[in-house]
Amino acid sequence: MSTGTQTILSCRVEQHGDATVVRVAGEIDRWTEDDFAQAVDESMRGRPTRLTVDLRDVTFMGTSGLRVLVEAQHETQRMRIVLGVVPGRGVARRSLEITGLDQMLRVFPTVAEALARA
Amino acid sequence: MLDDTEAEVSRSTAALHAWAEQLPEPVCEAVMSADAASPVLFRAVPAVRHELSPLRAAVTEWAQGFGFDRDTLADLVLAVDEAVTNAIEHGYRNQPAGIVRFFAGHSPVEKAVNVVVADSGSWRPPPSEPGVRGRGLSIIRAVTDRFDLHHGEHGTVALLSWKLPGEGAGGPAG
Ligand SMILES: Nc1ncnc2c1ncn2[C@@H]1O[C@H](COP(=O)(O)OP(=O)(O)O)[C@@H](O)[C@H]1O
Ligand SMILES: [Mg+2]
Repeated sequence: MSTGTQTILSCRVEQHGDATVVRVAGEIDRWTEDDFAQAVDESMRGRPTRLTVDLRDVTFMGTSGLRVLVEAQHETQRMRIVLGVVPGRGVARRSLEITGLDQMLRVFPTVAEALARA
Repeated sequence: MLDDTEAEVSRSTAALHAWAEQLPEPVCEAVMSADAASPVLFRAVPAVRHELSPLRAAVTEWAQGFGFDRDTLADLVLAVDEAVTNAIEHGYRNQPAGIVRFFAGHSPVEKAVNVVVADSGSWRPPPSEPGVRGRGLSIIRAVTDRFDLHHGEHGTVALLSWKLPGEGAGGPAG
């Protein structure tokens, strides 16, 4: 029996020129939070000009995931990286709306738009 | 086979009622009013983080069939996850082998579904400067029709309720 976090969450970091995209799929909860945070931290390390977090394939996101996004917002501001979030139309959008974080983060409908306008 | 199932159901109903009687009065009432003919979840969940995902899956499945729309279903799973997460990470912060008692049922009297999350841990006074924390309880409050939080010497009990669709607080429609 496997209880590895990778069974419910996957994070892939992609390079697009001087921009970085973190593609997240699965469930972000109190168990997988650290993996998500680690992927986001890693993606900042190369000091990209833009960092986009793609949450369209996220099937659950509680306050653990929201907390990682808020911390990323602080950290990217400090490092002068422009952070963009692509919540999609599912549960990630809902979690951001309920907490009002959709007003605090730069939210884009697609990754392409985040990369073009961020 | 049928007899076994019926015996099993009545045994678990007895266990449910025995548990409910130890709960704060209003929460006990909500549990006791559960309709035995509707699906009920009653579980002892080990207080470890990797139990959250399977519990969410069970709640998602249980919540089908009451007629909730997609957003309300998502809210329900989100709020339940926050309550159970709190029990694990706060209630049992000093206890490695805690058990979270979980109940979800439909109350025909209240025309609502009720979820109870109970830990036998200890309440932690919220920090005065929560920083990036402190969103869980406010999410639960925002998305439920009723949220009772009881904490005392024997741990914390949360009751989360959602009115069934078409049973708004303004009374019966039509
Ligand atoms: N089941 C519980 N047992 C003990 N303390 C709790 C429990 N639930 C909530 N708390 C307290 O309430 C605070 C606020 O909870 P919440 O809004 O979920 O924020 P967070 O979990 O991010 O701290 C917690 O930090 C903790 O102090
Ligand atoms: Mg919490």
